[in-house]
Amino acid sequence: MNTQPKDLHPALYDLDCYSVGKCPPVLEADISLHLKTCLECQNYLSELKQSHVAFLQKQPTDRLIQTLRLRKSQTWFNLFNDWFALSNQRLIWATAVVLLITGSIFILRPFSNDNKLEKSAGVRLMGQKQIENSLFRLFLRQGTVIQEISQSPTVKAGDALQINFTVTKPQYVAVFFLDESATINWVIPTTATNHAFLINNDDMLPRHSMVFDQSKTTERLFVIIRDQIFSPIDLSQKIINSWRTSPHKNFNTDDWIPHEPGWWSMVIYKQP
Amino acid sequence: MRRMDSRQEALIRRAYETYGHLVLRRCQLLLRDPDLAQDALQEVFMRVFKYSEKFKEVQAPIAWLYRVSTNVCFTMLSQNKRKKYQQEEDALTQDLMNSNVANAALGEKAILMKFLQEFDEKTRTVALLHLVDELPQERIGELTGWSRQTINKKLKKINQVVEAYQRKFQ
Repeated sequence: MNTQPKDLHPALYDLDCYSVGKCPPVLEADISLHLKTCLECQNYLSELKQSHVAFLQKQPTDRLIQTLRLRKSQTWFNLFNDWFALSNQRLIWATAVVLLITGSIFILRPFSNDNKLEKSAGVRLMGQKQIENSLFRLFLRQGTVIQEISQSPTVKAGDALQINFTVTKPQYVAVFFLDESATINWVIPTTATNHAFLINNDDMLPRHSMVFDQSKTTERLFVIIRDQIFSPIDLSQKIINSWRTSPHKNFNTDDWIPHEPGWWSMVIYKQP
Repeated sequence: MRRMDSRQEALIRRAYETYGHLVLRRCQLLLRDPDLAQDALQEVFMRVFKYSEKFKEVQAPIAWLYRVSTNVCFTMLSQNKRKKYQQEEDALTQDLMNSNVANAALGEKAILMKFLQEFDEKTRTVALLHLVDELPQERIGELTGWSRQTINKKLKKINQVVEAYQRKFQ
């Protein structure tokens, strides 16, 4: 039976630390000495050790780790939920953002996926030049109006053009603009390169729109499609040379364009 | 919150296997509800994970865990479990009134438990370290990093509350 005054016992906190071997070294020796004679502290320590063993048996670490992982994965979901639950104002803003995104998708939809339109409209070739194993369609967006174009359009800054291809077998493609000063703006591929872009099916084609800037210079759109690989740089250079050496110097007519298989061109007029 | 990596997992495993039973005891003491104590235990180790970098550097991990446990338990009590706790406190008050508490320290501890919820976080920490863990003032200062003056002030406040309660029922 312990007969020592209460004050001589180690603090319970220190006994807790001692029981797991985390006692400050200065106290450890004192506690060990005290334990030799103090039944009360021995009992406390023994009780702690038993509870430690029982704890690890009843509540294995793996279960805690599993629970923590689960709770952690729920944290993001809860954060999302809490964000919405916080205020009506946030809910209104969130609804507005969703509507805005949905509206944008609806407006831009013809520019991002024309497969349905393509099928319903049937096969159609643009311009005077037929390109084997492929067809393409041009769409122009002016403000909120989108229309398919079949002859040279007049555009202003901000208008956008998209070209959609349908190929019956893999084709190599190049698309670029040329202006009267013989400057080229590449569309497909996006930079000057010796390798044309290979499309195996429609979905592989980059579906970005060509948006016109403030420039008032008339431009020509060139589309080249071949089933054999070609160098877009070489072909563009050939066109540039042809333009520079043209005797009539009329950019709007087709007569200076060299007759080559698998290419097509259209003049794009700019609104004054 | 970031993904739990293997180092963090090892840290949590080590901490849980070494200190888990102590944390659970502390939570049971504060909550007096085994189910709630289990929830609190998880929450404490959730915080070990969240502050794992800090925990690695802590000099006195048990003191840190006890402090986190206290905060977690009292947060739980102040949320939706307050009503249940209050009912139990009323029962405790009744027990105190009916019993002959021979041991003055035990009486203090029991009274203190009733008032813990009304103390601020610092006072609560000092109260627990002093009356439950039986640590002297200097050791509380070492473990919390608070000044002797602050701890003195808190202990004075705790004693006033305990004495006033004892006077009321004696």
